Amino acid sequence: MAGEIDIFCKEPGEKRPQEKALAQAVNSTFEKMGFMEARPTDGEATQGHAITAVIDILTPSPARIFFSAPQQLGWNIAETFYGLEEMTMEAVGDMMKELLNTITGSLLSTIMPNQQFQLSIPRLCPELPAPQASSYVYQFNIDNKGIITIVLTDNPS
Amino acid sequence: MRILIVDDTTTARLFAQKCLANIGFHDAEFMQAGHGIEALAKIRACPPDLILSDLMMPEMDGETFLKILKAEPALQDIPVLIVSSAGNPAHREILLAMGALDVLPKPFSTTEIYEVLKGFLTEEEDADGWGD
Repeated sequence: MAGEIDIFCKEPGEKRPQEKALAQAVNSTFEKMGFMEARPTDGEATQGHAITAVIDILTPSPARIFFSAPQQLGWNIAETFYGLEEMTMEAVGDMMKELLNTITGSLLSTIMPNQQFQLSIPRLCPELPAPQASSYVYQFNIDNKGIITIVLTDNPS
Repeated sequence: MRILIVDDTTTARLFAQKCLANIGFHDAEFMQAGHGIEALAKIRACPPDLILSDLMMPEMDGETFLKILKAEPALQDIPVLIVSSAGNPAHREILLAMGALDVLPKPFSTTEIYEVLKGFLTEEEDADGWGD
């Protein structure tokens, strides 16, 4: 039932299960789709224009996941994944939505394997949300080409 | 061999097409649709030999699309492989009971999709593709 399942465990002092599952989901997605490596990092993401996608977890418990990459990195990933000679920003945006959708499904299948879940259609948004107490920020280095940022929040409002 | 790929993002359709070409379907004729309604229209006009479909799509989702397809006698024998990030074991069983060929979770590798679809390749295509 909505609101009764803590998808993003907030137990103090314990390693949150979603951290390991997210790292697995991100690495598996990049490896299978483009033979790229994704390593968790505390490094600084490149400043400048970024492409950001967002998806809502509708059930069993409302939450929201953001996924952001510097524009150049997004471009590089899309070229690697799809091998297109002529890449467009629309294709890069499409890829960001598809990646977020895949990572989210993989993450939820791991942390709640016997639970049905429902997701929104992913969409692009202007930027990552401002930091807040109910959000968790994770970063991954992609093949030493740049850093992506993923923000999990259980407060979609 | 005519293959229809149903997914709401262009890049997902291109990725699936690239994977299929890599495993041996390089001579296949690929058709694309962005959702279930568009897919049904294309199938009725020109039935494919194989369908790959996502689940989460606007207009008509993959589960509804599968249900309608399997209810039409002229189309119900077309194999449908569901590829989706929204699956879990319980949902997989439901989709298989509805007549899906198989359910492949995203992300999938070339090896994984080859294992599911190798039976659709001719010996020559198999030798040219991933399986050799």
